[in-house]
Amino acid sequence: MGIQREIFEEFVEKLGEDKEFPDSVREEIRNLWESGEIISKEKIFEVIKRGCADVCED
Amino acid sequence: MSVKIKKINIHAFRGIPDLELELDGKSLLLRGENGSGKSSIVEAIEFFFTGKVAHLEGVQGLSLRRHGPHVNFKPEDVNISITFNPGNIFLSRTFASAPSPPSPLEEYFQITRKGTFILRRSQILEFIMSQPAERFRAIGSIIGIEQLDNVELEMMRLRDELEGKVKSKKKEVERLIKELSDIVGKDITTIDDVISVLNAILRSAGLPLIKSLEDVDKHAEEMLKSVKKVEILDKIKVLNEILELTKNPLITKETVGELTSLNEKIRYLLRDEARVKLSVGDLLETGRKIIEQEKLDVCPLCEQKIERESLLARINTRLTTLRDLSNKASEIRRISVPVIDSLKRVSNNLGVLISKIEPFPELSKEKEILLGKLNSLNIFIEKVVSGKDLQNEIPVREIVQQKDEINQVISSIYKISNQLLKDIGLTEEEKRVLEIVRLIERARSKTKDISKTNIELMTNQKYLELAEKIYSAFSETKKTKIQEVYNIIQADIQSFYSMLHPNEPHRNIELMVAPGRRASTEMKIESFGREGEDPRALTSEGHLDSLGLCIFLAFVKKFNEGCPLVILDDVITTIDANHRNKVAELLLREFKDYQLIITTHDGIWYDQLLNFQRALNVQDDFINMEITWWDVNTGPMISPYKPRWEKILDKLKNNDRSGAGNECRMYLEWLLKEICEKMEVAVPFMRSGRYTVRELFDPAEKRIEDKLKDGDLKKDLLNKFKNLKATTFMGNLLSHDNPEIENLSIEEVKTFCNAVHDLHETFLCPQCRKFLKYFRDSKIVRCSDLRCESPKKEMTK
Repeated sequence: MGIQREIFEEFVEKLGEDKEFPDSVREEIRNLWESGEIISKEKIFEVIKRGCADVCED
Repeated sequence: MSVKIKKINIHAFRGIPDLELELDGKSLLLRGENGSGKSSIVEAIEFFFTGKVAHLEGVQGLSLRRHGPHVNFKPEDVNISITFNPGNIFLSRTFASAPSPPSPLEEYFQITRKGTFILRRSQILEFIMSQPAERFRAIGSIIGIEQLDNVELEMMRLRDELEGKVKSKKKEVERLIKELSDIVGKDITTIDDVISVLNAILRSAGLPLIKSLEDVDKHAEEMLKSVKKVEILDKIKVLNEILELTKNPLITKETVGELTSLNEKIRYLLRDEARVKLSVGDLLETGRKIIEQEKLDVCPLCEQKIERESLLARINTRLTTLRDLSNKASEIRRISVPVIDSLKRVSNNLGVLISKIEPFPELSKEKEILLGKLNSLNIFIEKVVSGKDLQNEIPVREIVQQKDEINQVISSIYKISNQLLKDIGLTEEEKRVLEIVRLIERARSKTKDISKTNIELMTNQKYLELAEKIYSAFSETKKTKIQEVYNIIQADIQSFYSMLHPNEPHRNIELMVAPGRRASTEMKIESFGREGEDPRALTSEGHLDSLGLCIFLAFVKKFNEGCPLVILDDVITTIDANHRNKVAELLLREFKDYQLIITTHDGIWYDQLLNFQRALNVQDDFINMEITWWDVNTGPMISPYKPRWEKILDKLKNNDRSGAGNECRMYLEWLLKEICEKMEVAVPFMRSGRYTVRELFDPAEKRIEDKLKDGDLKKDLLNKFKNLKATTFMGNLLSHDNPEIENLSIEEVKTFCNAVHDLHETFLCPQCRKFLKYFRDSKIVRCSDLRCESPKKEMTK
């Protein structure tokens, strides 16, 4: 496993340790990385906004 | 079986019209003078794998498409092909197409695509002499984390922007609460206080109380029933709304003050000096690259002689200052968020006001003026937005003028609207009721704004909380993992460095992710017993170069697994002969399974590598070549390496007196230098370091005579000196430093060449072919390889 992937996996795992961090945001960030797309601040913000909306709906 | 390059074909690229290099999976050792096309070969390999040539990247005026093709060819003629083993896989790169490696080569290409298998002298300095951030970038490209670095940067930018947004919303809530307090005439801390304050007002006016702000409309309607002129209530309502909008100046002194302060920061970065600094920044970066890469000792701009290392150190200091400017630019982006929000609010209010005054012919003139002002304000806001991006200054004077003009019109609208309200002719009681209705409506409207802004604030706080968590978790994980990598690598760096510099007082090399910095690597070394020293404190450039080489090799070993290709392009120029020997040993021992491509202009280093190939019995793993000629039309002429003695014999065979004589004269110069170094011969100091045969021969002979005890070796060596001195060629050299070859016969040249060769042979150990060396402590001259089992030796006096 390359170092980039290793770092990213561990990062996502770390987010998972925070019980208050929305799972949907964590998963979307993982998907974004795995899709190979360029991760821009706009894309991260979209993920956060969707995640917050989900939390509010819940 | 690991992937190796079998053959390289280069067509129309850099200084090469056409070239085929058959490697057959072996390493390549290539010697050539400066400008003979060595780097063109390396650049062709780099272009094949990466599609780029580092020298031509990011330097203004240089482009791969323009400067990549050979001068006699067009970009579409360029073609680099490499054949790989196993499988005899043939792949090509042109400007229009990239190689598509089949799956067995995928891993190899994943690494070579990054270009991290090539080390040039300029890159060595990136590891050592550069600032921590640049060092991080250089290392990051080898370990392959550039993509993560960009992700982290984007995460940080999002966090910073949200921080700015939250600050702006907090400020807006504070402002709205202050305005609400002004409306109700009492300090309000939360919107829960509003009902009780409003009811106190209603109670004192003898009017019915309200239960919640949602009741305001219904309540107002009830109260307005007491107003006689019910038919013009709508008009009264709109006039009241206009009065509310125009009661206070739309553009405040505070807004102008904030714009002025923001513009001062922008102006600082845009003033000529800073602009120059920013452009100087580009120039310095370019100049630094050129000076480092081309090893220039002359300024590329003014052509004055320079102290290269001290100039590079000064350039680095100046670049640090320029990076502070970049931090200031980031601060500007952050603090401009609330200022722009505030201007957009004014623009929005102006739009609302224009629509409210529309039905009143008495306000038509003001409406026309406001339409123009709104347009100017929106243009001004665009200028603030572009100012934030440092495209221009903010024309603050414009807003000062706009402020006065807009506020004048606002004040005029207030007066006219007030008059229109008076003209309706309400009774004192009606006016009182209307005033209270207006008050509670304004309070309700302000409260609504506060609630809305509070929700926006909370939403942004939530976004910020998540963005902060994402950034912190990412940044922390990245730092921890990279530090883990550094901890592993340190052992290899230390081990390689100790091989090159045994028994020297530099140890405990440490690489550390700089605390509190996003992408920065600090390097420390224990030097002369002092811990945690910056390696740049080491005085020798050669030590720094060898440290950089060790870092590169350690990272390559760890991270280029699956790609056994390493290219070293003329990298050891500052390392002395003794340490080069150790570099040769390190490469040939530790990287014996790699396909090495080593280019050099340095004959001594070339010979040392050849010696180590023989000593380690790996000659068959190498192809040793020399570039014997280059011109623009033919490109480099590459011939298999021939030992110097074989070249001389060839020339003698062809009756080439001049060629053989000159080659052998250089051979003798080299031999005498070796003798003087190994035997610790005292010779007069020459600042230039250039010694002629005349200056070395006698001291070398005298040293043997004085130092060695009488015995066969001494006798043999002195005989060889005597024989050489007896040749006519040598006589010419010793009397006037000119061999006068044109006056010599081929036989005379031949006698001289044989005498030189005999002298050389006598200085070699017959067992292992290593040069003899004087060991002062043991008082002995012996084979320099201490592991030699049957060394040639003689005791000294």
